[in-house]
Amino acid sequence: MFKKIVFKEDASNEPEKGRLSTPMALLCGSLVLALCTLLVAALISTQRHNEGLQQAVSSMLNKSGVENPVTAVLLNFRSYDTLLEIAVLLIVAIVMLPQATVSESHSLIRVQQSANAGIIMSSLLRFLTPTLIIMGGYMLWTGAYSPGGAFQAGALIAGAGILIFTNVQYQVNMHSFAFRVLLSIGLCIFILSGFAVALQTGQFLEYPVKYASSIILFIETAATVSIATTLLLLYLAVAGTQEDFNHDT
Amino acid sequence: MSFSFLLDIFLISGSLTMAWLCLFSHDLLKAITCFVCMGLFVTLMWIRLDAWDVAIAEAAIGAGLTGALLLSSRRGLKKTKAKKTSAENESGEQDV
Repeated sequence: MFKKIVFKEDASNEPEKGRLSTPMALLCGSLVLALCTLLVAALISTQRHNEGLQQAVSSMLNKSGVENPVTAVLLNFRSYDTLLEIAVLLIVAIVMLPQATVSESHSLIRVQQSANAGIIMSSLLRFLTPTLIIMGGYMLWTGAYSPGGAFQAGALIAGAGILIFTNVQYQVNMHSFAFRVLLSIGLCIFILSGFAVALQTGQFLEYPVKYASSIILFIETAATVSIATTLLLLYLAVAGTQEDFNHDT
Repeated sequence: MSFSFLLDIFLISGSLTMAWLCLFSHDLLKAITCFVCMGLFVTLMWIRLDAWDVAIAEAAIGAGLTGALLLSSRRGLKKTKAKKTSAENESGEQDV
C-alpha cells in the first residue's frame, strides 16, 4: 500500500507539474521586469552623495595598527561585527558536523597505506600543498598593508586541504578532539583577547594603540585556522568520505 | 568607445550569459561549470572596481570552493538516487 509514495522533490522535478501556465508566467515575468526597472530607476535617480566614511577611516588609520583600511575596519574599528561573523561560521560548522558515532581512534588524520593513492595526484600535492600553505601565510601577513587577510588566507588553506582529502589515502577524523579545537580556536582567541584588552583599556575589543598590530595579527592567525577548518568541513561533510572512515574502524 | 568600456560590456554580458546558462540548463554538470565561470567573471568585475579583497575572496570561495561543494553534492545526489531506485526494485520483488 505504500508503493505510490511520491517524494515532494521528485514531483516538482516533473516538467508538466512544475510548469506555470502561460498567462501566469507572463504575469510573473512582467512583475519581475517592473521591479527591476524600478530598482534601476531608483539607483539612477539617487544623488551620489559624499565619500561616505572614507575620510573618517583614513584619519584614524595611524591609530589602528595596520595600513590597509579594509583590515583596519574589519579587525579594529568594527571588530565586533567580525567577531559575530566568526561565531556564525562556528555555528554553521557545528550544524554541518556529521552525526557522532562511537569511534575508537582519536587521531586527527589517518593515513591509509593500502588505498590506491594515485601517483599523479600525490606527487602534485607534494609540491602544491606547501606552496598553498605558504601563500596562505603570505596572504595573512600582507593583509596588514595591502589586500588580503584572514578570510582569503583561510580559503586558500581550505583549498589545499580539499586537494589533500580528495586523495583517499588521507582521511580526517571529524570526531577527534583536535578537529573541534581547530574549529573553535578562532572564536575563543577572539573573545579572550577582547576581554584581555578590556583589562587595559576598559572597553571590550578596544585595543591599546601600542600593541594593536600584533593583537590583530594574533587574532587573524587564529581566525585563519578556524575559517580554513570550517570550509574544509563543509566540503568533507558534503563529499561524505567520512562514512568509509567510520565503517573501517 | 574606449578599451575599458568594451571590457566592461564584455564582463557584464559574459556574467549575465553565464548566469542564464547556469539557471536554465538541464544538465547539472553544465550548470555547475557555468556557475564557476560566472564566479570568475564576477571576480574580474570586482578587480575592475578596484576591490581586490573582494576579488580574492570571490575567486577562492565563489568560484573554487563552491564549485567543489556543488560537484560533490551532485555526486551525493547521484548516489542517493541509485540507492533509492535499487531499494524500490527490491521492495517490488518482495511484493511479487
